[in-house]
Amino acid sequence: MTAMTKKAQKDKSATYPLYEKLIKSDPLAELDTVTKERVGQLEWYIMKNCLWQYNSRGWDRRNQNAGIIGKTAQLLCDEEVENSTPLDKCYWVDAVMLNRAYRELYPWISEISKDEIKSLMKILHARMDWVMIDGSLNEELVVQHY
Amino acid sequence: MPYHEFDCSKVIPERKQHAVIKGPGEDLTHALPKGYLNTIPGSISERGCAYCGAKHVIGTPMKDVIHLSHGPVGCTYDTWQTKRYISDNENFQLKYTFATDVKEKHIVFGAEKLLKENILEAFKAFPDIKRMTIYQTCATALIGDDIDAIAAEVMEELPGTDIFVCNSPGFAGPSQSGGHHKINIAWVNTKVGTVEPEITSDYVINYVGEYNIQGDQEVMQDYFKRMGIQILSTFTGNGKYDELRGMHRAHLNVLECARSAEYICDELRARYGIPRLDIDGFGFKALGDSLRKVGMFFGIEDRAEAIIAEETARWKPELDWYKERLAGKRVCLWPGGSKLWHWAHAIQEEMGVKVVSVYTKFGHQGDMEKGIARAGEGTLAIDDPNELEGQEALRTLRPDVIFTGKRPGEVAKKMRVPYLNAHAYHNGPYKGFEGWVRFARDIYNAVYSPIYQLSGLDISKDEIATDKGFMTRRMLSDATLPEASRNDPMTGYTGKYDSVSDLRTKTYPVFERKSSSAAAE
Amino acid sequence: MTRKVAIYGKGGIGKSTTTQNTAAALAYFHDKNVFIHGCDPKADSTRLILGGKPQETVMDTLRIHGAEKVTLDKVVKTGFKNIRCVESGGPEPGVGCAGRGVITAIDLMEENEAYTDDLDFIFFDVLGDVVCGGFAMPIRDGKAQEVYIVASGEMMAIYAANNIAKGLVKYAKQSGVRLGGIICNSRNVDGEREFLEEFTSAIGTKMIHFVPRDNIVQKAEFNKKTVTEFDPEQNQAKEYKALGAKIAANEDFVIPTPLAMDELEAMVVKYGMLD
Repeated sequence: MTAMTKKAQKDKSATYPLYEKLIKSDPLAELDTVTKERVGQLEWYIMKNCLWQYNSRGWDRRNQNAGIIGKTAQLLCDEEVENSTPLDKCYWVDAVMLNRAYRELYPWISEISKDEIKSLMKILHARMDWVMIDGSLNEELVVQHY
Repeated sequence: MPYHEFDCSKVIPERKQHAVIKGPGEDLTHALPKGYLNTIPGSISERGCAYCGAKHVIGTPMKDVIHLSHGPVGCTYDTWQTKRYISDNENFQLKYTFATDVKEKHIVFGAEKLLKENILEAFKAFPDIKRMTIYQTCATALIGDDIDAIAAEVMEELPGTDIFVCNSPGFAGPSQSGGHHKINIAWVNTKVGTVEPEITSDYVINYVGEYNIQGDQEVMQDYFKRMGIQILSTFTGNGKYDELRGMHRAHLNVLECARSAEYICDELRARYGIPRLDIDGFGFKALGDSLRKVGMFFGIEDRAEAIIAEETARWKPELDWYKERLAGKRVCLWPGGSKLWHWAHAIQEEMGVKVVSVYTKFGHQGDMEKGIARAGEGTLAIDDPNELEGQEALRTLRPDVIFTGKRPGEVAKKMRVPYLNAHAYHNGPYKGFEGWVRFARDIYNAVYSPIYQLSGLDISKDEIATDKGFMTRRMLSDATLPEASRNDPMTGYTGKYDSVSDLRTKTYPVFERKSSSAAAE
Repeated sequence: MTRKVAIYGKGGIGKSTTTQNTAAALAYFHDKNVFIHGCDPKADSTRLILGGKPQETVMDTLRIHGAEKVTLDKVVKTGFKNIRCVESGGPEPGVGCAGRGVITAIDLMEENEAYTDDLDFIFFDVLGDVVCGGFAMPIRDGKAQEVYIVASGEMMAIYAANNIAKGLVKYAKQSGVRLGGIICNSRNVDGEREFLEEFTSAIGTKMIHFVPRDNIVQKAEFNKKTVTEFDPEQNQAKEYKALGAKIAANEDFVIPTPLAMDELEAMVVKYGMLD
């Protein structure tokens, strides 16, 4: 390969921004027992069975959490999910698995209102951001390059 | 911070931050060892070097390629035939390895001429092979040999050949993982996009991070083919050089070993917009979910369900037979980098085996995060362990079996802990539904091996009973089970000794292609 | 198109001085965007541009912080007339492997995309004795395309230039690098100009410029500046301005034909016996 093509290829690779801490402390800390337990169950399933939350940089994890948990919330509320890019579709695929698992394993989720689901998923999102990014002890999350 | 200090490592205070015990109710913000740092002087590490990570782990599984090391013979020999990455072209890459045999005079006067002679000789000796990869070693890296230039010269002289140069000398990283990174980036920078691949299906994936250990890749390939999905290239098990040059045309990157290949997935995502889907090929539930996800991505989930149903019906009863007999057994899960998290939860759920310790030889903190999250409470997690710590852990934890590499495995054997080879397997493949049952069988055979009745006895002083017969595996394993189980006519795994060769001659259904406009999504 | 230039020559002949002064002239008089990459473990190739401040070298940054922490903001410093400067750095005398240091430093700069398209000139200032493959890194594929050898009328400087030309022949084939000319950094030797003209013509190139010896260079150096920065009205500054212009306009790029030892000896004798 000539040097020219090599450079042209590199031009396409993204620049990797550093990220700011969004969640300052454990979002579960001050909540009531029922919410803690419920979010805990949802979190437990993800941590035991999923891999999408472990991408290697903080900004990547931020995107993953938002994409997948966001779509899961929509599916749990029986909403239509739009997948305009292949990356979106990839998030959706993981969200579908979560949606099914949650409904099967946690019957309480089918009994609460859509607003309650949305609020729980928001807390779950914050909790995942905390555990995987802002409160994480993984020092590689802030490295600039891949 | 529940850091764990080994007695034997008290003299090396830095080691304290590399081991952690997961306490009750703790999550990843409380417990995480340090990772991927330089090996601490004074500890007998179990790591390899970056050249090994690049050549032995990622480079050499490519099957239609001459793999040439530019360096002394020792580097080459010691990274050969210690991993069982087979291939379906009669294992060309396992049978032959090549070295330029650099000697002192070449170090002093430069080894480029020597390299060129060797390349030409190798191509001449194997006229059917037109592809080559050249790996730089420490020696040739220091003297500044310009391997890229020599490769370009040869490619001009011998049209039809193609050469990939990997500049990953041994000192290029703290461990094998540095080598993985270098070769990933080198491949995507110089070779991806140089060939337009032939597309034979509407659903095209790259199967990344799979090295066909004892046939793993061929098992997974079988599933994908049954779903009508084209595996454009496998990085790199049972993989072809030219296929890997066309990686940019896939719709999806299915990633197994994130530790060694997430770098190329991330780069392909950034440069070509191909999404990355992490999957687990181990364990019925994890594998089933993974196949479903891939199917769902392409809108063919029903095909995945059909395969899952068929395989589960065939193999689940045998898996359950083993689960009954393995329940409660304790294991130390001590692999290199990614199996600690592929297996940690699945083993417990599907075989009833409790994981009491995980470790990683060259993994990063990300691997530890996955491993600790998936393992249970009380698990001892160690980063970059050494032999003395391993022995101490075995003595305190007293596991029933240990999954690790050959070298620490021999130490475990001498301490009367049965061991299974986590890197190259005993009787693999372990991926897939049938593979998982084979794994269960190997664990069963290891744990209940009758040899352990004898190996703990000292005939010079112990009482050896002369009226008892020899206890078989089944007698040992079923001793505490209810009568129905003891009388169960099943005996475990009923598959063949070699479960892979048949896959190579199988025929697959042909799926109709959609029109080109519909297929483009 | 960025011109990538490598400067070679006998140790102590004045490569770094010449490079920095020419770069300053190109930036000041000809409005060019210049980048200097020092490839000498002594790390003294950018001192005059940065006003005497030693900069953190690439290899030191790698040694202390690790390879991933080597970023452009840490190792690229800007000096006089926005000339960007990088020092490869390397080990102290007698230890380690400086050549490997040059290889790694240039690799890291390429990875970090330091050699941007907006640059008009990139100068690789390479240490005197090209003793191993590492020091040829700047003239490998994709890097410097033209080389200038700094010499004087002294015997040893000419020997060294001839030797370097031998090395260039090999690389010319591999990476396409060419010799752009010899720069004479005068030492006020008798018959210097004639000797160099004959020598350069014999090896197939030309003496691109004769830079006269002038104490103002030392005076400016003492003040940690290039002559152009110190006093652009000086005659010497005009000399560097001319050298810069000649390099910019140069189109004679050749593969040198180095002399055999006896031919070189004969030439030396001829000029040594002039008076």
